[in-house]
Amino acid sequence: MDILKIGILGIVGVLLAVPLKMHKAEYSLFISMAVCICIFVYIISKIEIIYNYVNSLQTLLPIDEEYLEMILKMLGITYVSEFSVNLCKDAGYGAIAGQIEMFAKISILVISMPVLMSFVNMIGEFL
Amino acid sequence: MSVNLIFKIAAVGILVTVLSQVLKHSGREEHAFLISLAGLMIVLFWIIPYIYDLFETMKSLFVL
Repeated sequence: MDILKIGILGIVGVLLAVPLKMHKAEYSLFISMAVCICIFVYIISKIEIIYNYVNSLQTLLPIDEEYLEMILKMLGITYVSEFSVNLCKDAGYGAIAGQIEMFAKISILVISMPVLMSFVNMIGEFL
Repeated sequence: MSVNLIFKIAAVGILVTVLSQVLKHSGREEHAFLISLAGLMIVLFWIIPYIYDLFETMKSLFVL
């Protein structure tokens, strides 16, 4: 049922932004930003549900807390960079979008480095 | 809460466009520019808190 609301919200936003794009381009960007924020509010409620399930799963399977946190951090970085990259691309500035995307990839790599190191150390112990 | 934000922004956009067209055709270029600047400021004041809230919830939710 929610998906109907999201779809209609998106279409209404686009229908409002298109006539404004001819005369004033900045307002179409504002409208697309507002629609993104509205949809994100719905996304947050879904993410809360998933987070609760993962926590309850935690009690059954002893997953390390820091790995869970790392996954959440990566999820956050990807979502923020996705949000800003798409907005920049909508406005027509692909170069800036590319830089943001590059920064996001590098920061995710930096976050995943400790896991790699602990993995290599574990292998070293076996041999 | 935020759905009527979209309609408010659209209303300001259309109003500013119409006003600037009218002012442009009646020869007052600088007024048209001032009107569009004022519209921009209004929409910015509306949308900045939402963006701030967005990134605050991101920070708290994803433990960034």
